Amino acid sequence: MSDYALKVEGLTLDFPRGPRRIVEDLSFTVPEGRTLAIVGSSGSGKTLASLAVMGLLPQGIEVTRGEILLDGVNVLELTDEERRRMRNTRIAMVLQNPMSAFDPIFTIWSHFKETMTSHRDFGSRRAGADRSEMRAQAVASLGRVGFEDPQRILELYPFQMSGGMLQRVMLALALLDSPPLVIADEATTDLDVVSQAHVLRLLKEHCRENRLSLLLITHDLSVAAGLADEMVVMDSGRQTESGTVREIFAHAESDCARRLLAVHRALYSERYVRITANLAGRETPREAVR
Amino acid sequence: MSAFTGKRAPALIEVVNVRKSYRQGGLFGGKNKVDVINGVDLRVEAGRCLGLLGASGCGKSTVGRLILGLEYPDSGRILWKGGDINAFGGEERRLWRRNNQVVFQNSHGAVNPGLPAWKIVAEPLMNYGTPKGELRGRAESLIRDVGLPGDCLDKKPHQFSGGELQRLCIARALALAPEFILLDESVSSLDMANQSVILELLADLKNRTGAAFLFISHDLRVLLNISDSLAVMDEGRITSSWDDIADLEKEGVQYDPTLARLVEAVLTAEPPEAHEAHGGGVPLEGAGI
Repeated sequence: MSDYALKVEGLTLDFPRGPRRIVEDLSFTVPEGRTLAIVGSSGSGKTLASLAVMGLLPQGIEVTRGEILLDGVNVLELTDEERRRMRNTRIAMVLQNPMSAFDPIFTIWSHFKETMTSHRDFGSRRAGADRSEMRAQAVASLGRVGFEDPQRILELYPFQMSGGMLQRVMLALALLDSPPLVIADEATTDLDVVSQAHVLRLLKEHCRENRLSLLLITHDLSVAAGLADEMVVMDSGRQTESGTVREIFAHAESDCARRLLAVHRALYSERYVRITANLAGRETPREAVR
Repeated sequence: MSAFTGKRAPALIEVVNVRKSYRQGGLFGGKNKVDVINGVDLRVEAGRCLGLLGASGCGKSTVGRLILGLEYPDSGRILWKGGDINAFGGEERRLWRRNNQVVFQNSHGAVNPGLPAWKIVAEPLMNYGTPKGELRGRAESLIRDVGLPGDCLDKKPHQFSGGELQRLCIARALALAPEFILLDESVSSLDMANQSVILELLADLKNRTGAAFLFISHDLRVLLNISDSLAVMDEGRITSSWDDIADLEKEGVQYDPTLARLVEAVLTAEPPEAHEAHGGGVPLEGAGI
């Protein structure tokens, strides 16, 4: 076994007939059981890099150079069938927009069935005997992400749920087969701060308890800082900096990282820090402050 | 921590004990009534920015829609310079409308995908009788005002990034020089860098145009950057309000539980080292505060 969950070497993405290179020479390693964040502003290529790992690049974009190693196997050399089986058992993804990631005319239970049957071996596709087993797994999985009444949730349609609830369902789907590597692509960006905190906390707890590795894609430095051990900063398709979160917060060197930090600090203003201090001072220290 | 009470000169906008409920369930109108707004009072003073803070589903956007006249309250009144907006008719209504503009969260959904940028910005001008020959020129100066290059006049919405398109929406809201602009989660779908740029632009425009803002957001960090006063909302009620947002940071103030919950939620995303780094480090140039 290798000591990394995912290793990307010199990844380069191109439009074959297009105007420009999308990602150039990106290299990073997600260590076993740890969290790596790829941070960058919109359009820096961070999402496409993660889609390349999943083998889900949109048509017209190709990997022209580089290696993506998952447990020593180069993902780029797998057949479509092998890749399909890899998803959700070896690697799972949580997407940004839960409202469009679910099919509005199917219940949550249908989504669970689809996920289970399409990523596992043929055995569990048999209905009947396996159905109750599948149902039990779905219920357990929903229970893990904090739903108190999973049976009821399974019968709901996506439009009957809030964004925060759907995002937790998506997390439950992703964690169904306990894949050793989870990719979260702006998983909390569309949520309000309360739901965001809930989903992030769940993600963090699961990864810690089950020693899962996490690749976090985000534009929000506070999310990266809250979850990640290490960080890669991307700008216009290039990797400008990498290191531990602590290092980059303390002394960022590249312009891009400094710019992101400046924005982060402007938003996380001194006034805000005083308010949080006020709040923390009044009541007993909470888990949040630690 | 005073409520919006007491005798004062009429505010630009006053929301007085407004209630609103929706019927839930089914295409044919369910029987369940869901109370969304349970007696809200708010004051938006001329030239000031009121921040409205609340989690998803607390009813803050509904308050915004009521103020714009996109929904009717079940009871209570919404006053514009002392007059009830839902009693306005004819010319009065037209005048009130042009002075109330809005910038929504999702800029891609707020513009006609088939129109070029200048027509999007010129649409309100057209509606209020600006001569056809002047439209393009006026649109160009508005577009430059929000920091977009003048050569984007003929671009279609899909050629703009989210941040650029939000600027275009702001330009459109400014077109009629309104006295009030509603900003409903206007920076929430942008990345951090764009959020801070748009916030700076809005603060600058507020000073230049003297327009009053109602800024709706779930993120206190955003509101602290732009608001003069703050109202906190939960389950259709205002749970606390602050005439001066700076009072929030005074020592020994009491926060209501909703505000505490919303602040604490952001804290979970912030590790100890980030606090250290923030406290110890010197803010970089261009930090914007």
